[in-house]
Amino acid sequence: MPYKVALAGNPNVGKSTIFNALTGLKQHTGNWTGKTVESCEGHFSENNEMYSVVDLPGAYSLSSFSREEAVTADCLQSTSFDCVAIVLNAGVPERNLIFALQVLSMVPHAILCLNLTDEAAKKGLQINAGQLSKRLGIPVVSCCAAKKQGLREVKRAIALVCRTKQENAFFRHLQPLREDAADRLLHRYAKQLCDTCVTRTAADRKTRRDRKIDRILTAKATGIPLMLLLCGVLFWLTAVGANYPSGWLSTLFAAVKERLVTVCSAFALPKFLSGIIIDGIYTTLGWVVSVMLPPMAIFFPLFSLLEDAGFLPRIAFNLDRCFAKCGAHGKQSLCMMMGIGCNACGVTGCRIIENDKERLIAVLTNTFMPCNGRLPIIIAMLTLFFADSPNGWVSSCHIAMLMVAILAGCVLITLAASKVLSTALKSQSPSGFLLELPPYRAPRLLKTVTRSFLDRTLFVLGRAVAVAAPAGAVIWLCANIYIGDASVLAYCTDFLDPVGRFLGLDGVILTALLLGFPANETVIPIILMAYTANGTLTEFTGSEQLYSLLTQNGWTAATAVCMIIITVLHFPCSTTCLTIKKETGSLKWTLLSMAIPTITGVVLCAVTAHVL
Amino acid sequence: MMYNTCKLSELPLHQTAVVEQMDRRDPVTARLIQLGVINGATVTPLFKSMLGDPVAYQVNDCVIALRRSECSGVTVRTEDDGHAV
Repeated sequence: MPYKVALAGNPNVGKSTIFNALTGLKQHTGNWTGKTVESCEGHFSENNEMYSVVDLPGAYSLSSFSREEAVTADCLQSTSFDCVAIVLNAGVPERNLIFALQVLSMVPHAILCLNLTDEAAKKGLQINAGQLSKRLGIPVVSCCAAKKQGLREVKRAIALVCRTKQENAFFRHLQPLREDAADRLLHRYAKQLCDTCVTRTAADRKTRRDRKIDRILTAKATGIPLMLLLCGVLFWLTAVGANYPSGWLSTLFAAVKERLVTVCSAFALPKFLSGIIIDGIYTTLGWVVSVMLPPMAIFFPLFSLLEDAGFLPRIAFNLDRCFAKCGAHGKQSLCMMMGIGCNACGVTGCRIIENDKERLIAVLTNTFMPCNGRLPIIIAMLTLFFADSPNGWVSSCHIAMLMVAILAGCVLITLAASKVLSTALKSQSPSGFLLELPPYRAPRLLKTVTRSFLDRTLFVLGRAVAVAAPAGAVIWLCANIYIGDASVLAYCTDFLDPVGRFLGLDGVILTALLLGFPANETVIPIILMAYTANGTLTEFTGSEQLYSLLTQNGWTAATAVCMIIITVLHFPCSTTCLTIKKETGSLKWTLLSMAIPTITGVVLCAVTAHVL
Repeated sequence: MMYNTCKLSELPLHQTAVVEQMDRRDPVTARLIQLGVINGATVTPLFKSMLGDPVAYQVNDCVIALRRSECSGVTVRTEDDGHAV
């Protein structure tokens, strides 16, 4: 049996970084409170002994307020861990020690990791680990997980406690006390510990520089322009950068396809089999990878740099007032930003919002943020139909600006929907904002970018194999099984065509959106498949061919606009729906979360189609 | 020595004050206590958000953003001449 170890601590003290360093796993990390909302497990071995480690969500206290904190408290209470490693932010000793004492009174075996010691030193704080260890009766280790310093000592300390089962000096100290008395005692004791074990000198330039950046980012005159500019630069880099790898990938896929055709004919495979494999599965896979992967593999590494630096909490801070006015919570903007990555993650991330009603609003409106599977569709639409300047630089700036405008539109729709929901839902006392603004941290450039790039690539490839490949097979079957003189697919698209036309789209697009329910990544491939299914399949090696195929099938700029609208505003994908069901525990809310965006999208599309 | 007391939400920017009293009935209070806003703690409003609310406060060694409504239950004490206590 491996020893059971848990990592606990205040939010944003680097538990996940330590976890990754100990276990060699690659949990996501980020410089903001609430990055980890679900506990995660891993293993490491030391001196031939196995240790299983649980990374618990951060908590300010064990008398829980939010769901993520409840997870931590329950886990510490119900499991008998051989060692709990309490991670402290050495830069905020007093508050972190209060939490540590709470844990120590609950579990007998523990160690203390003083993390972020480099940051603390810059703040002018020095903690005497030996003294602290003597007072608490447990090993205290200084480390700096991001720089991989002190991790060997952490492992040794964990091993020592697991072996000797030494009990800490504070265990069961608080049990006979009432809650407020316990609270007072905790605070007094933490203060005493700080007074004896922490020495302070003046803060250095870093803190003053942080305040300067904060003032620029949060001032009325510079805050919004800077946020928009940052967002614009992000999309500009994505639009400019994605074109090249997209082209390369589609050329590659086309070349491999030719070989595949030769191989298939050499083995004299039946037409049906080669059709389903090459024209169905392989082509769809190729399209998903070449159209969807490059924008995401560029956008997300850049985004994670901002995340690591600590910008996200500032954005939430700036926007809180808007959200408060709409009866929602500023932290919702954090969930929305996660939603851009994946709505399912965004929905889970809503756990950081403490108030039930505000959390429900955040969950139900998360789909208004275009996710990983939909963002590239929008970028593709903009690139094909609205980047008409002959100058590449001008048109890419154009795309970036339109993209920022669309995203701003998404935020406005989210706010409007939140307002409607908050008036409709039963009122509850509003919760506070209470968000910690962490110090800015220089992101580990190369590491963050490569990890995020690999993660995204694996994510998209995984979805492509798991969903796009079967979807390709199904759609090929639909397009090639004939009832009478029309294919099944043709029946579907013809049936939906009048509705589609009314919305400024067509039957094929609607069919694709419905069939794209398992994963929105497949929408564009399905559309292409449907358009090319009847004639001989042409090769697509660039955006010109894509453009001509779409225009041949009656697409205009107006169709593209409606396509963008319906892409943003339709039911969430199946994974997100399941997550919403899990998070809200109610079928009613899940169905509502599908209905709200769909109805909004249908109305907006119909209006747009008749105006344009 | 002369002291001035006021609500935390009314404390001007960059003026350090000491928490004197907290509204026990306010549900937010318990959360504030966990974040280190307790009797005797020093707090300094550092900067306002773009739209004026919430405001970021230096509490102990960290920066916490609080809405106006949340800090209206906290009474703080400053010295008369406006300098830190």
